[in-house]
Amino acid sequence: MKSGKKIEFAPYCYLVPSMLIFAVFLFYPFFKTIYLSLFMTNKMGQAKLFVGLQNYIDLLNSKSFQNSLKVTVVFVLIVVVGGMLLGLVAAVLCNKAFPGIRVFSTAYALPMAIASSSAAMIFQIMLHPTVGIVNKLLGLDINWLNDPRTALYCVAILTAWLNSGINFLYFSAGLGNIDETIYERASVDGASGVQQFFHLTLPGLSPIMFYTVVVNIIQAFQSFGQIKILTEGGPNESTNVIVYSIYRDAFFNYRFGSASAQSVILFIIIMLVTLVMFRMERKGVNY
Amino acid sequence: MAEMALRNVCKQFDSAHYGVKNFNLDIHDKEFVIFVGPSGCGKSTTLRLIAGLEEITDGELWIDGKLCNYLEPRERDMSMVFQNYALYPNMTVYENIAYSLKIRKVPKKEIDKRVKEVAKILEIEPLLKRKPVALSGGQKQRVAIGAAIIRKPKAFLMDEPLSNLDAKLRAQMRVELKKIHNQLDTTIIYVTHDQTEAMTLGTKIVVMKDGEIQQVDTPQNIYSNPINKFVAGFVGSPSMNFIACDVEEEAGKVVLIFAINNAIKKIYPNNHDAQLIREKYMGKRVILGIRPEDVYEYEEAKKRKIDLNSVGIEEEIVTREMLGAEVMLYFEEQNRTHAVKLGPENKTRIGEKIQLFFDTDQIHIFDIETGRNILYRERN
Amino acid sequence: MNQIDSMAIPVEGRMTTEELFELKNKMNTKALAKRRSKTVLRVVANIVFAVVILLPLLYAISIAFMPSNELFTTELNIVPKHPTVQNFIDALRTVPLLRFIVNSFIMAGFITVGQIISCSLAAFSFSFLEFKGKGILFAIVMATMMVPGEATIISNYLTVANLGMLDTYPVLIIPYLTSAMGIFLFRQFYMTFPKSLYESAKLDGCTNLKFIVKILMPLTKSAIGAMAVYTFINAWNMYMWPLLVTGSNNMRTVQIGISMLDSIDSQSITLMIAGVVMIIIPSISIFIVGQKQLIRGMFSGAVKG
Repeated sequence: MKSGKKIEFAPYCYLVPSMLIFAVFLFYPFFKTIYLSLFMTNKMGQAKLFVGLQNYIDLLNSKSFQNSLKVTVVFVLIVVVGGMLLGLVAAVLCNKAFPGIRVFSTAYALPMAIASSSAAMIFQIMLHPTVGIVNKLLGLDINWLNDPRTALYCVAILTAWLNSGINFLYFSAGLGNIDETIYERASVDGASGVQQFFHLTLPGLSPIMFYTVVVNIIQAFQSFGQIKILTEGGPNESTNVIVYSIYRDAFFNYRFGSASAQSVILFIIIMLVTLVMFRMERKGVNY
Repeated sequence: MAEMALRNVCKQFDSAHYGVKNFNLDIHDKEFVIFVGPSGCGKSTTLRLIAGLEEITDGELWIDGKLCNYLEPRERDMSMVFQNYALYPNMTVYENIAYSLKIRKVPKKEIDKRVKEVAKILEIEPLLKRKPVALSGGQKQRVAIGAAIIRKPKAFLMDEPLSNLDAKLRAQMRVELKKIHNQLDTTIIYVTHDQTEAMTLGTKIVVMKDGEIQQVDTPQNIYSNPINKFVAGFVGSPSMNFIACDVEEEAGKVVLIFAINNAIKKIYPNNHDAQLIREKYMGKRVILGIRPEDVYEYEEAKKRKIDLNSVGIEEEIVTREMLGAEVMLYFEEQNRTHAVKLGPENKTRIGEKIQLFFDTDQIHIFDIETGRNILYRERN
Repeated sequence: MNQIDSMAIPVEGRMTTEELFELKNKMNTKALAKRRSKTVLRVVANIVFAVVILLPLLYAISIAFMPSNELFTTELNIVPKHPTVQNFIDALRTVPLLRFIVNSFIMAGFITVGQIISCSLAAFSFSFLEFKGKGILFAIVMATMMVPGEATIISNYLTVANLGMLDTYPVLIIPYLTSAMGIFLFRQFYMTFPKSLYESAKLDGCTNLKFIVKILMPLTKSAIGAMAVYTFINAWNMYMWPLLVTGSNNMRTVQIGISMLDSIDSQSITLMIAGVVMIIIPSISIFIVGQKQLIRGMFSGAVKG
């Protein structure tokens, strides 16, 4: 340390590249989004008329947005539960060494390497009403993606599948963190395999489970590519999740103000969910 | 309660590696059996074979006359304390202790009663609501023992339960374990690498090395009548001094001669002459073993009427440790340091020479090749 | 072997050597069968589940090699009867797929390298240096993880549109040149090193930059590997931003370009899937090669921290 009052610039220099990017492409647009959400905009996205919270009020009263909220909740629920279940089953299947474990664990993690758009195009063919394998295997004749009753489940299951890869890695790491000897003690104590799973494995996963739930929820809220390609929000707005609604309002209807307001609402929802989860963690998982 | 017998039990890891080899042992009800040996000697593996956590490759494990080789751990009715305690991190202390009863569907009231009893014995009543993460090492250790003793299994298996504790706690827990053994009146099989624990706790000690049993006996016999050089050296602290000697005849008596720096030093084994002659060791090289506490200086030797017709050997002291109740002196012979335990009144300083007398009743003589104790007394 | 002799010691005196031998054999076979069936069960369960998980990919590969007339039958046609590579050739001819792949490589490559550099610099500052406002700045960086991309994407689009940057490489790359997760990951790793590592390097006359390049980066290879794999795959798979900011074939990335194959003409299904398979290959290859790195880097650091 030198004469004391001199401020060192070096530490800040190393932060400049990251902070600059954050400032230009994250903080500025974030506040600009909030700003825009209070305005009516023209087709160039310029704020023209200050309307206060009118965009928000309109949204909350609009049937379409209410539908979007409902669809998003259902979508997120299916994606989180489904994706975590797939990952958990895979991780438990791959927990003990057996011949071929490497191949299988690569297979289970693989969906994380696949783009939502590519996956969507594959699912499109799988769900094709006449040539798709799903109808052929099930002997059904359902137009999965064009039926409002099934379309949402299809995109949700696809998204769950995409997320299952990283969930598998999370759960595998979680299982690896459980002390092997507690299983030995449990087996000497007289616990069966099923009892061990419910008394030790599941509770042992709870710290990583919490983290995984948060990450999954955030990811699910932001799913876009697969919906754009598979259903474009339809049929009948049955898959019009908030993110897609934002995209449509901004880039088709050029209602940037309303789209911005929806972005802000999405941000608030994600933030609330995260905070609530952290609250719950502090109460629930305490070891 | 249980009578256990292990017959030629082997654990083979691969074609060349044995974890445990030809292990034969009878364990009777209420015994406190200690498996002791250096790390990697197969003592923990043997315990895990008994628990069923590892599979026996060859031989038989009999429990109460039943062949148990292939029983699942949970069918064997044992309880085990692990080295790292293996407490269930998601359960409170109470739940940890109660777990084995809970999965046996013991009524809640009964469980509660037993948990409280156990907690009282181990003085962990205030901890019952805590999670393991909030416990100190000693507390975890008590909880692990509590979880084991809440049931009345056929045997308690303990795998180095004290090795993660500091010296003071360890000494304290040793006393308590002894007490628990008396209170519970049950079989305990206990693994340790610490010979002090083995000597103080056990009613029967099994010394192992490289997967094989070296000797099975009471602590007293293991100490005073070791079967070979390994056991002799492993038990006792500081360990036994070993000096290579030639067995010669001198005026009709057997004498052990070791020479260094041109000075010839002799020990007369006296009562053991016949044994050495019978076993044809005359003119051969052997290893003489003597414990530090069986060496005396002149005055003490005279007082104890130790045969003084052997000249005391003269040694130069290289290190001196004052331990309060006794003084440890160290001298060098054949490039090894040897220890002598003398009374606190001894004032020999480093660099000085001292006359030492070996209590020849307490010496051991080992075959230089096999390490066998030539003077080993078979028990009837 | 004379082991059998010593086994003859009848423990309870009720059994002859032969009886014992037989009993043991019987139990041994039983135990072996039990163990075998357990392993078999596990492998079978894994195969079934892996097939379920991989079904979309296996199906895509099968379709990609299928002549398009074979697809349109009512029978279950899981495996192509007359495999062909025609679909791949057609796909490459219909759209400039190679150009898209090059674009994606350029974009993902720059983003990966850029993130590794900017994140290590920032993480170095956050873990080894002391400065005013460190805590707050770090908290701000972490808070950015909570902001969904959708909350900024509109404004970002308007910004770059106004700057006339649409349809260029920089617009694809620059916004993604840093990431809060990367900074966090590297910092987790750096925190495991003692401060004395930095101090002794300083005493040896090492500058900060030299310390990062010569000491820190080699020591955190596994974190860098994990970060590289993760970032590259995510960039390769990016969809919404490239969709908004690219308009011409010259700039489109694979994920956007591939949807050009997704035409109404249902005869081209096989062709489209062939294209999809081609663009999946790079990201899957990188994932398989880097999987070990990825897992070790992402989880060992996080666990230690």
